[in-house]
Formats: sequence, structure tokens, C-alpha cells
Amino acid sequence: MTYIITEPCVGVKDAACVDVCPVDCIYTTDDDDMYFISPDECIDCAACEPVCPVTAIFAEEAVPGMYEDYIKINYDYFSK
Amino acid sequence: MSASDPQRSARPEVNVVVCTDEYGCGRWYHRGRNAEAVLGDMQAAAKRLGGERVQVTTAGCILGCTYGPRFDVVRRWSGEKALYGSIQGEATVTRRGRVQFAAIPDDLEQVLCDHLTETAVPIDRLAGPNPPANIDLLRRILSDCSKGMGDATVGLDEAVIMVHNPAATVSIPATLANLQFVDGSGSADPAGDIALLATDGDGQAALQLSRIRQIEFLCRQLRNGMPSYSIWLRDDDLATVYRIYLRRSENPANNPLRHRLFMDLIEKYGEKVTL
Repeated sequence: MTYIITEPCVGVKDAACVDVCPVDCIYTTDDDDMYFISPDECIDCAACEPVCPVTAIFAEEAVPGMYEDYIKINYDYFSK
Repeated sequence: MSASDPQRSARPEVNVVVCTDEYGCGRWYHRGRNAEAVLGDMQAAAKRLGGERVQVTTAGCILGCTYGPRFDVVRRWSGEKALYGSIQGEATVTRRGRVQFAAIPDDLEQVLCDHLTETAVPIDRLAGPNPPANIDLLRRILSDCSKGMGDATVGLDEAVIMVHNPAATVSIPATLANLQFVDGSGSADPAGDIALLATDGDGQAALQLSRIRQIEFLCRQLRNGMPSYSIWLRDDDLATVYRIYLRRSENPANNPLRHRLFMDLIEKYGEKVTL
């Protein structure tokens, strides 16, 4: 399991999740319009989920249907 | 996103992430508080400071450590992080390597003030010397082991004390009912700093209470299916310095009562208590 960042993060990039992540597994670049959680490095601690100001982060199995595309988007980001 | 965006303006100065993992910090105590109590006290402290400047949230075990209860404090205005736990100083944790812990103080509001912009102290100044161990609590726990508590009619009684160092291991049969506290001169003193146990054969085992930082109750099933009950006492470095293993009682009727007392002790104090 991992946590997935979804559409509400797009254009916001508040980075609260990055600040609290204990294993520094959340990435972005200046060219990206959102953050991404590395599924291989995420330890499922859930620290990122409640601090997100726009409720963009969900446990993989709890991603709402309307954001399901972001599961693949997150995984694909790290398989480049 | 503009600076005037309400989402941005609501950004807290400090994030506190409290580990409430049910298999780790959730079961451990530090100076009388477990993770839930730390969380509640921290939320109350944040509220007293205005509520919006500090965000307190929970997390599962993020360290694979044995130094809980613990929490992270993140200074969002500077990007610095501080780690608080049951010990003071450097320690190794599975997922972070060598880290610096500050011991959780009694006053959590002061913790928050130490990280807010106008009252912040340098991160590297947070890890000072360890506060004195809570000897009163240790005396209380040992007394409960010795005499029982609540409606218990027996104490833990028959035991083996084990003291181990790299060169030797000594096991001494003793009876916990014979526990007494003495001062430095050996005179009985309920507030004494030394716990004295009369061992079988008229010997004595003395324990310097101020050197004990952590006590852990361990209940395990042995390979032969029999239960094993032991109490591990650790020093400031969390090295085990004194172990008490329960023996089977000579009066078999006492064994279920001793099991219940052991479980009641865990219920009351937690499996692991940092003093």
C-alpha cells in the first residue's frame, strides 16, 4: 500500500506533506504542477494525509472514484 | 496561488505529528503519559496558543523505534524538524539512522513556544541533559509488584533476579514480597533511593532507583507453551541492567492471581514505562 496525491494538489503545492513526511518520499520539480509520493519509499505512516490543506491525499485503497486516475499517475511518475 | 489565498494564509507555523501506533507508541508511557495523553495535552496546548498557528495530527509508526511515545515538530517557516521521545540524546532508529531526540517535557505548551517564530530556540539547543527520572513512579510500580494492587490478594512474589554484564550473568532467587526501600545508609525509608530485596538464603539485592530510566513488563509464551513473565529495568542508555523473572508459585492457587496482577500492572502502567 501507499498514499496517493490527487487532483486538489494541482496548482496548490502547499508542501505541508513534504514537511511532515518522516522519510522524505514526496517529490516534485518546478515543472510539475503537483507533488507525488514514491510508492516504494512510502511507509504508510499517514502523517501526510491530515496535514494536507486541500484534502488531496488518500490511502491507495481509499482514493475516491473521481480521483482514481491519480493512482496510475503517481505510480507512472516514478517508473519513468 | 497568491499570498492572499485563504488556503495559504491558514498555513500553520508549526506541525506536530504524534505517533499513536497501536503496536508501538500507543502502548508506552513516558513520565506518566502514553501517546493518547500526549496527543490530548498537545492539542490543548495548541488551542491555548490560538489554535491556528499549530496543527496537531497523528501518524502510525514512522520510525520503527522503541523510544516512544514520540512526536515530530516541524517548523514550517524554516523547514527544520525536531524529534521528541522518551529519551534525550542520540539514538538509532530503523528508518532514519542516527537521530537526535529531545525528551518530552511535562510542559508541552513550552515545546510549542520553542518552535513558534517569535519565541523559537535553536534546534540544536533542545537536546539538553535528561531530566531526573521519576523515582516516585518507580517506587509505586515496584510496590504494586510487591504487594499487589486493587483487590489483589497476592503480590508477584516468587521471582529470579537476573543481572547481566558482558562478563557475567547472575541469577538470584528472591521473593518480591520482601521489597523495602532504604536510604544510602541502609535504613528503612519509604522515600529511599534504593530498593532492597531479601533474596533466598539471607542475601540482598539492591537497586539504585535513580539509575533506572525505563521499566518494561514482558509476557511471552515459551516454545513449550508455558507463559513467561518478566520485568526489565533499563538505565539512561536504555541498556537492560536488572531483570525480574517470575517463578512458578509454590502455592499453585496463586499462579492465576499473579497472572491477573501482572496483566493489571500492564493495564495500569502500560507495557513500557519511561520514568
